[in-house]
This record gives sequence, structure tokens and C-alpha cells, in this order.
Amino acid sequence: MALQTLRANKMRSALTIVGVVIGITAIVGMTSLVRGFDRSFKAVVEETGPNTIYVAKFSGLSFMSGQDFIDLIRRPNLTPNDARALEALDSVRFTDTMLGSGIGDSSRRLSYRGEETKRLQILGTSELFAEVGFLSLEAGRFFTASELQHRRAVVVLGQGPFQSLFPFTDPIGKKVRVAGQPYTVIGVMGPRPSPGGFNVGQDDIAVIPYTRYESQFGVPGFRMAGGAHRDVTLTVMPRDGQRDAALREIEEVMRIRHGLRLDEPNDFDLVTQDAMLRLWERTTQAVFLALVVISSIALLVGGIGVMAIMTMSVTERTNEIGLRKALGAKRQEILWQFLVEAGVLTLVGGILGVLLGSGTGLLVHFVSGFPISLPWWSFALGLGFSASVGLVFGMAPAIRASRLDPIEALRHE
Amino acid sequence: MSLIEVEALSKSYQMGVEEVHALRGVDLTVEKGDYIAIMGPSGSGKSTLLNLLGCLDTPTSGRYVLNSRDVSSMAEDDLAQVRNEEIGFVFQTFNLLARATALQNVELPLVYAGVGADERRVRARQALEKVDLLDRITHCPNELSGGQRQRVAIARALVNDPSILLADEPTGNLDSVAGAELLDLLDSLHKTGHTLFVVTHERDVAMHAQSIVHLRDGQIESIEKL
Repeated sequence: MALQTLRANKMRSALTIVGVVIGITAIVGMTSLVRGFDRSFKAVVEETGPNTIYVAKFSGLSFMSGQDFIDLIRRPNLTPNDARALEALDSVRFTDTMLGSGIGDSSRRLSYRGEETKRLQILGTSELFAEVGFLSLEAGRFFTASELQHRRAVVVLGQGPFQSLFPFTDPIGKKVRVAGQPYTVIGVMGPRPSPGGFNVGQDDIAVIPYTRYESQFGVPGFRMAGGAHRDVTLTVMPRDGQRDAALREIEEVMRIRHGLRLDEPNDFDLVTQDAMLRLWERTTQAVFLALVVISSIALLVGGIGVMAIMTMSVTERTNEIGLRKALGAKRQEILWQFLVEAGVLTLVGGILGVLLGSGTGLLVHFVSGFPISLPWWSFALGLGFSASVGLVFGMAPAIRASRLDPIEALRHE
Repeated sequence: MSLIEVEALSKSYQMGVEEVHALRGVDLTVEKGDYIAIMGPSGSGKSTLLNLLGCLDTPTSGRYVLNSRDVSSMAEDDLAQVRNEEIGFVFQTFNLLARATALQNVELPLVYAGVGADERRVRARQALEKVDLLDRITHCPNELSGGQRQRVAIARALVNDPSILLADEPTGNLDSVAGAELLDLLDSLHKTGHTLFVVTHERDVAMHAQSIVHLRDGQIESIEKL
């Protein structure tokens, strides 16, 4: 019965559900994108391994906890000596020192036989860099402790410089220039993962011993607001099963080394995979919340559209309602007729929205390679939401229809 | 016991500050198979009486017993059920659902009676057969003539086998030929035992009935036996 009326009013039905379609499209489409990005980001973070501890002057964590950037810059810099002190701890297996990983000036070019790369990130690390889980080697080897100690001019290329300098030749053993100085290529890294599958320059990288880095470039950094920032990150690998102990000991040692009093907060960040994931979780939750709010507004607008059209429809069909009552329709039957009409209408809107939303997600995926995720529950959510919008916003007009006096209604033209 | 027993039936409305007495104490007894015309000038209470007889409204005072059920003080939903089971309405303006076929229109009372879809179709076809419209069951109202529309409406009124048929100016929107045909149809329904009420202001129409109830100022002025 309700369906008949809807089919007979195609144009109006279509207009009624536009708002709902948009709302559900937003929910399903955005969910697929946000969830997809979330998954690939987690994959990147998990790449670093659950036990790895980063010691940094500051990190995303301190930004998220709302600290002033100026205060962060003024924190004491980490040094290779810190690394040695941490390495002496019982719970620590080894510590890798990394220079040039952050926001300091580390963009330089590589060249080979007159061919030059674009500016890329030069990392100075210890021989342990390969072991902290950052990279796989595609060819050659990583440098050794002895090469590190003797400040050998050796370099491991990322995919970026490898492909632009050695498209047809084997790079191992070749001499390249790193910012003008001659280096021997000893290895090539495989492609690295990146959040969202985007090319964020994750492969535009070259790794050299940090001792060599220090003597060629000095410790990277910049001066700002009375603080000289030095870009040093220490990557600590705890011994098996001793991660928590390592965290405690590192904190103690660093506090002592920085001469902190008991009441002073840490002036360094300890970053672990779960801390990063927690931070990320908070961020995605915020994004999801924003998503819910925006979609709710879209659905609200859609719902008001439904209410307006249903109210109009009740007025226009007053005579019909009168007739139905005269023929024996009870209040509830009239109520249900209009509710079902509204519910079916918005449910159709929801189905269209789910299709459009997943279509949008898939389109984005195929065009840009952006990872998406289309969980079944986002469809269920979309359909549930759309039907409820119809029921909730159709309620008032439906109640009004059910309460019409049959005599008055029959007289209405 | 008679089919309809009406005693001292009164209805008054509040119109602004004024109280309007539309009906002031009507007594009426109707037997099964009677054919009654109700006449009177406008404002005489015709419509009010019709609404009360059709259980669309309840009286301010008085008693109305229909088919041995006292319906004078029933609640809205109970009245709806009584209308569904006991009363068939025929309106001056036909009141068919414009976008539904003749068959669907005739099925409508059965929908509210809770009859299943298959049985609905069978009974609606039978009702349309009685009004000689079997060849038009898939037509929508706008594809039917005025006379055919009113016959669909009569089929709809008959489909749930009601105790009484209430026709409010049934020929009012028909030309004379279609009007005459319709009155013939009502006559034949009367002959097959249906109880009919026809409200009209045309004496020619009223002459088809067995008796004419003349209303004036909310009271029965006279009952004319034919």
C-alpha cells in the first residue's frame, strides 16, 4: 500500500531522499577512506617492531600533549654519548644512533657520472640500523661496526637514488658523490612502506655511517628562539622480554644525564610502537567523531527534508486519509502507512548512499591507489541510520495523519 | 430486534462561542432490507445524521444500536472496526484512490479487515461482477467514466458484506443517464436484500426508496411511506 504511493510519486520521492543519500554517501565513503588509511598507517608503525624504543628530543607525542614548540626546541640535545650510556644498560641489547632523521637540514643530492638526484634525505646511522627493523636490503650489504668506527665513506642507497642513478647498471662498488664527497655504494634497500601508499619520499633516502655524517656535515640542526636544535634520534633495542625494564632504565639514565630534579618533567620523549598506535588511535577517533558529527548534520538536513515532504504529503492526502478511516482504517494503520512510507523512502536513500559511498571509495582507490576498507558494518550502519531517519522524522507527520478526524478529512479537497 | 434503533439522538457542536444543535432528538427504527431516503434543506441535519449512522461520529446524547451493538459511545478505533464490518459508504465525489486500479480500490476495505491478499482479490472481483465492471478491473479511475467510477465505489461499499449501505448524493456528480443507471443498480441491490440509505435533495432520486425521512432543523418533520 505504502509502496504504491511512493512509486506513483517518483519525482517527489527522489527529491525527498537526496539529503539522506548525501549523508549516507558521506558516512560510507569517508569510513572506507579513513579505515583504509588507518590500516596502512598501522602497518607502517608495526614495521618498526613492538619492542623498539625511540629516544628523541621531542616527537609527535609531545606535540600532541600540547607542549609549546619553543620549549621543545630548548630541550637539551641528545648526543652519541647518550647512545653509549644507554648501551651500557643491562636491559638494552644495542642502541642505534640516527642523525638527520628529523626536521633538520638533511636534504642533499647524490651524483654519479654527471647524473644528479633530486634533494633527498641523508641518514647517518650506526651499523645496527638494519637490525632495528627499518629496511630490507635488495642488493649488497649494510656497513659494519668497523666501517662506522673508521668513518668510511660508504653509502647504502634507497630505491629513489638507486633508480635515478643506476637505471641499467649494478651500483655495488660504484663511486657516487654525496653532497660533493666521494662514497662507495655497498648496498641497496628495498622499497619502504608508507602511510596511505602515497609516495611521500620514503624511498628518497641514502644511509651512511653516522661518524662519517658527523665529520662531513656536523650534527644536523638549526638555531631557533635561543635554542640550537640538534637532530639526533636514538633507537634502542631492549633484550628479549625486557622492554618495560629498558623503558624504566632509559628514563632514569636520561634524567640523570640531563640533571633533572625529581619534580621536573622529562625533557626527552620515549616513543614506542604502542605509544604511537595509541596516539594514532586518538587521532583517528577524533577524525571518526568529526565524521559522525558531519554525517549527522547531513542526515539531520535529510531528515528535515523527509519531515517537510511527509507533512506536505499528509496535507495533500487528507481526503485519502479520511476515506481510509471511513473504510475502517484504525489510527495505528494510518500511522504505520506513513511511517513505512518514510522508512522505505529513506532506506532506498540509504541503499543509494551505500552504493555511491563505496563507489566513491573504490574510485579513489583505483585512481590514486589510496587504500580503502569497506567493512560490512559500515553498510549496516548506513542502512540502519537511513531507515531510522525516516522513522524518526516521519513520526510527527504520521501521528498527525493518524489523528485526523474522518469527517473533516473527507470534506477536505 | 430491528437492524437499526435510534433513540433521542442529538448532536451539538461548539462553533466559536455559540452552540449549534445540529440534531435534536431523532428517533428512527430501520429493519433489514429497508430502503430509506433522507431529504431536507441544507442545515437540516442531513449530514450530521448520516455521519452518526455511518459511525464516523458519536452523538452528544441519545442511543444508536446497530445490529444489536450499541455504538453511541464507542472509542475511535472500535468505531473504525464497526465501519469496516457494518457500513458501506458511497460518496458524491466517489473518493477512489486515483493511482490504484478498480480492483485495488475495491480491495481496500478488506485490507483493513485483515483479509489475505488472495482472498481479497477473489472477493473484490465478485463485488465488481455485481456492478458489472469485470472488464474494467485493471483500469485506474481516470480511465473510467463517472458512472463507472460510482459503480466501483459501490463495489467497494459491498465488498465486506456490510449491514447497511450509506449513499450521500450518489447521483450528484453524474449525468442523467449514468444517474438513472446508478439508481437502477441501487434498486437491484435493494431487491437482493441490502439495506440502503440515500441522502439526496432530489425528489426523483428519493422516490426510488420505500420511505422518505424529511428532516428540518435537526428533527424529523415527517416520514413519508411510498
